[in-house]
Amino acid sequence: MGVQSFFVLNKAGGLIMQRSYSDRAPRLTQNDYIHLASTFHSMQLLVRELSPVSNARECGGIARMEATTFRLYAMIAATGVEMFVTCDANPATAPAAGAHDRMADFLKEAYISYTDYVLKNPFYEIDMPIKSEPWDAHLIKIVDKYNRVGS
Amino acid sequence: MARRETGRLSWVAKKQASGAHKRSQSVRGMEAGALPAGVGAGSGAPAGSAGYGAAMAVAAAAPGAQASPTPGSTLNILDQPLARQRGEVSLSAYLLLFCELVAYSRNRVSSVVALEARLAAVGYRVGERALEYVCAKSGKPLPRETRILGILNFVVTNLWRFLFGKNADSLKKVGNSDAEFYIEEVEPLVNTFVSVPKDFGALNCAAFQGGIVHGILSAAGFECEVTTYVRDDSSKPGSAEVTMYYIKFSNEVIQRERRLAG
Repeated sequence: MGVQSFFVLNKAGGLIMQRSYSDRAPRLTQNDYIHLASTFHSMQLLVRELSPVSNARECGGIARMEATTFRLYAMIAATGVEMFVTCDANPATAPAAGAHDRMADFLKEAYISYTDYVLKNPFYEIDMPIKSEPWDAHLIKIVDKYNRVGS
Repeated sequence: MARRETGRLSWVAKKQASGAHKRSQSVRGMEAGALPAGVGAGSGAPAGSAGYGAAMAVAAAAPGAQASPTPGSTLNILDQPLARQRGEVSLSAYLLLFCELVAYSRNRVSSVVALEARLAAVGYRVGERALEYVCAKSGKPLPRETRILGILNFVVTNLWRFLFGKNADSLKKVGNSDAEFYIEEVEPLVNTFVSVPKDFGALNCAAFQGGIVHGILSAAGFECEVTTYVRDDSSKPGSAEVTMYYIKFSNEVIQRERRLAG
């Protein structure tokens, strides 16, 4: 499938976790990742305001973005935690038809593991950057699974 | 999220106290639960742990919010049969509770050592009760263990299966000593989701499980000291850290053991 990068944002738009899973993922500095994340967060806010759904809380915001160089899938949890993942746009490694649902599943699975590995870690403070080795290991497993499914 | 869950716990715990709860029949309480796949806690918690028990039982029902409690719809906890009950506790609820236990304890101690001691003290209370529990709940009557190896085997098999749904990974004897043993475990259940920050050094939350071992050995009449620590084991692939529960029996126990050995 070609998962490139995975981002987790807190409800204020701050980047709390970012990992790259591919050589094709652009290498950026930590500050650039933070900029990207907060830019995406503000776009999410705009989209939710603009959406025809009257209640902004009901609108899921941006679910998918397709660009010439990458594809992006996003989700917002009920608590305001946002996650998004970027994938290859190159036809050879890009998500095949019907992959959109799969990437939504990926985000869901990542979110479930977030509720386990992050929220059940007694040393984690809500909205602070996430440092959890067990979660990193688990995410790599999930990414591998979805990369395999796509190929 | 944890906070919301906690609120829920206390609410339903009250319901549980007054009547019974539909889902709670299968997840009845003990401080320590079991894996969903494993054999778990039975019913009829001793009075001392009843509060905990109710909270545990209900936590499992909480995530599926649609299950609304209807008091009196199932058997009262005192009327439920004692033997052959497969009680299962939601792993999720159990670890959430454990997470809160650690977070609560962490704010009330000044050092890592004190935090481990505190977790062990809570585990000790679980262990004290667990011995009677396992014996009462096992299908056939269990013999009273009087020998060191007997009780240790009981701990790594029966107790471990009851509490965590699997056997402990290994039980070993310290080479030249009759009084020292250790139990090894690669992935203690309570550490599944725990990631210890660097400034906590070698903290191992499995001290709680060490406390359980201590509690059960004391309750069985084997006075001992139990310390829990982490050993790096690079020979094992994947997880390089092994949790060790180091057990040192007291002199009286050793003398009794020699007498029994004849």
